[in-house]
Amino acid sequence: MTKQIIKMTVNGEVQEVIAEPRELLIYVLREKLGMTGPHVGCETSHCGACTVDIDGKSVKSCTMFAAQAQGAEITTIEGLGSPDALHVLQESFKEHHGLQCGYCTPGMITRAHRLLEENPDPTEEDVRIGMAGNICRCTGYQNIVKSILSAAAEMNASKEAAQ
Amino acid sequence: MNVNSTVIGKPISRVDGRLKTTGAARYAADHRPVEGRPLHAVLVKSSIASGRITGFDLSALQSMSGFVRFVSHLDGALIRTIKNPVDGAFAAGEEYTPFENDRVHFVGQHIGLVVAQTLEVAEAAAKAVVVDYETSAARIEFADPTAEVRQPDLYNTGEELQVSRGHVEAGLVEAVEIVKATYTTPIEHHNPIEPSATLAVWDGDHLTIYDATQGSVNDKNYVAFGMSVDPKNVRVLNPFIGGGFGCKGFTWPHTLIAAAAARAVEQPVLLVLSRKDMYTSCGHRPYTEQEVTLAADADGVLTATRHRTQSYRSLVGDHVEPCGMTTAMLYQCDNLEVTHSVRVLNRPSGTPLRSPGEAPGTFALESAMDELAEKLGMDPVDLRRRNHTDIDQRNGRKWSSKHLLECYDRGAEKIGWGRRKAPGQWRDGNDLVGLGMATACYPGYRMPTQTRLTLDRDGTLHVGVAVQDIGTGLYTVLAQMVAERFGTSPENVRVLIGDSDLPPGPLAGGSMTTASVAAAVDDGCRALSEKLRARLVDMGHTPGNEPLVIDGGALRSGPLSVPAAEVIPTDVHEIVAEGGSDDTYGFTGGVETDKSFYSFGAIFAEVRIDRDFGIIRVPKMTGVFDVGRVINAKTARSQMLGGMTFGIGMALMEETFIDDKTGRFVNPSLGEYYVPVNADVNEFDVEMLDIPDYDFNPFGARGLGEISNVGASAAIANAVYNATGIRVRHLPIRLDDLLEDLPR
Repeated sequence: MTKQIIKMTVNGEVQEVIAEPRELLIYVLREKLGMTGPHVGCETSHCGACTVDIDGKSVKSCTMFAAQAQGAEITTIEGLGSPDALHVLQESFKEHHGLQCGYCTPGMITRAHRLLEENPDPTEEDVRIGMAGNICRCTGYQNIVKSILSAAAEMNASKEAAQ
Repeated sequence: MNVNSTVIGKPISRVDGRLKTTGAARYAADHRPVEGRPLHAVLVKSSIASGRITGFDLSALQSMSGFVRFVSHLDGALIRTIKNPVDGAFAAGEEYTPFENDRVHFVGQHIGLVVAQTLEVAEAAAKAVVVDYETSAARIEFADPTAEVRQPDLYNTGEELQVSRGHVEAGLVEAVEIVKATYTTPIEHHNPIEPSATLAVWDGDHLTIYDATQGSVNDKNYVAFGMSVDPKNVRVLNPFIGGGFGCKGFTWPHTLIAAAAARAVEQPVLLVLSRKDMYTSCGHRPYTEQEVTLAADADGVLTATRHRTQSYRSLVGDHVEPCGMTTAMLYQCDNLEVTHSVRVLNRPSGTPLRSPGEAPGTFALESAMDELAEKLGMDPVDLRRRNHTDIDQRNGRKWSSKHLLECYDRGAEKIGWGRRKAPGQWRDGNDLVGLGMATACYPGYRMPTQTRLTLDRDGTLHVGVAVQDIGTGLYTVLAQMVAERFGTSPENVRVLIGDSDLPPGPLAGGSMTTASVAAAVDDGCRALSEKLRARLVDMGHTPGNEPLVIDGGALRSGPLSVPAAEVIPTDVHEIVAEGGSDDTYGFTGGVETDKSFYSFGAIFAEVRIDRDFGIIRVPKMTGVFDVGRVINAKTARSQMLGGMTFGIGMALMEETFIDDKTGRFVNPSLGEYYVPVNADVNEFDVEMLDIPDYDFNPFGARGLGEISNVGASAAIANAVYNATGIRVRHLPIRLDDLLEDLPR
């Protein structure tokens, strides 16, 4: 298959990769760029473990061709924070125990990040509906909702303080 | 045990939280060999249910750029023939060897593996393999009259599957009310979000495997046997596992196939199962048909109990869903018969799925108890109290610690049981509202475990044991246990698990890891403490009788305080001690004891059902559990919430359909196999009685995780009955089970 050069910005860095048209974005991120935070869970867009942020939208990267990301601005979990410098959402998931096995967590947090951009002050129901595309098989979701609501409150408080 | 511990029982945040929230925690498929990229592998699976392979046409593969190798049974003895069990060194999910011969036993059996430079090529090549078969008659339908029926004697725990005591017929004659009904539960799949994955890396005759497994030691022994290498030459690494729920418990063919392929191509091979692969590669909970008979006198005292379970097994896997094990022990009843039979079918193999036996078994038993209460005109909680016993009905032993009555009390109070009305009588707007409850229970298991405790010159403690954290919180729990013994903070403890080179521990199953490591850590800490005291004496110090505290980089005993850097000679860097326990509890052949070990609980559910559409919601669920001492309030609570949510899935959503003609699973994807999502769940209430069971281990924990899935489906089914007056005796309960008969 004819390969093509795909240029995209991932976590603030411009990346050029050579990929076949059939290559999925998740595999380019994982295999070619070494970003193994986003995971493959279902291959059918249902579980959300592969969620990344593309041009301001949550995208299940297991069902998008890499070629479709030409010129896109992509954020993965690695772009939100690091173990030594956690994002507010990451800190909140850690403290409120919004995870168990942790496999869905990168996608879950990446989606939650976009959700709070879309709706900075969500109700519990907003969170439950807004996160319905991300499956967690371990926790029963209670603490995930709590983590997101707590992070939202904290982010709003620091925004207010800054104003 | 320090009952006022600042460490044990506290809601300490998990120590792996930073890695897991940032994508830095590496799961099996996230690892890369030190040098270069691995080759990618994709399975070729059988499309027939019975027969033999007569040939592979690989002509389309040869021209594919990036295609490396196809391996199958035609490659000769890639894998040594395994007879399971092999001297107890490991437990495999199936008692056959992959690629052993041309036989096909079920649809989805692994019959070949494509190895290629990229996943895309491997996928395309796997699709392009043309398999020729000679098919033979397959027995797929559950009721196939030609299927062989077996009555296995024992479950894999050693517990008897055919139990009889007293005279059931006599008990039936004594009764004033009898319930006799058949309950069915569907095929279910574990569906952890992480699919199974194996990265196999050979270095000469040494093999390193990054595997998504619930048991690194078991995995190591299985692969070593299949690869004909010394187990010492195999190292399995599983520092993080993306859930398992049983499907990564025993070892399965794909791990061995990946290792064999990597040896054949002399390069590292990464095999990640697809979601569809997961449905036929690593087990499922088989369909069950359970006939339950409960008989009681006018006071509600059980006079006879019968629980007959029919299920199936594959031709190569011997899993039996042991539904009646709970029935044999739970309620006082002198006349009892519990039987299990399995039909041998051309279906993929079953395996334990979170609370195997207990979950489907209590759906039947606890639904029947609800029906009996209704017939007797008794409150369902009262009926259970009436038949409560402090004696294990199987063997006459006392329970080590049983506080089930308190679970009933607390649960009833918390859910507001007093609000319950007669069936179909509670309306709220357009909703029919109902309350239901069920008893939960799960055996206490403990397995031999060894640990290594280390103190380094910084004063940091290290604990190592080849167990694994499948999401439960074991990293944190181990840090807490060691911190407790040395009077320090969990932050001062480094935990090494997920590596088969560490001192051996059990696989993560049967809710037994915490109890197993508790005894081993206790002994390891004692051994380290003795060594350190001896060292202090050698140095001329006189440590007192006070417990040795290791905190702030120093060892303290009473007024004595010596920096760790002084205690540990510069040439050794650390002081190491090993300890452990060889004791087994809960399995047949374990420690002789006059007590029985079980965890108990009560689950209460409120359901609301839309009167027009029959949509079932579970706005409230309360679980109260007696699981011994809780080590970490945060991780334990999360386990319980997750288990109760698992129960909602079992009660209302989860079902795998099989096509009786072809033997194919019809819905092998998360799009068509429904599991609870965020929007399906509400705030649940969990309470742990937190009463230590020191007869079981020195930390008093009995283990949890599986128990919260037990009883949940019955509690919901009973609540549905209470709301509607409609008794649904199969799972999952869907709106079309209710629509026609909903009270108007």
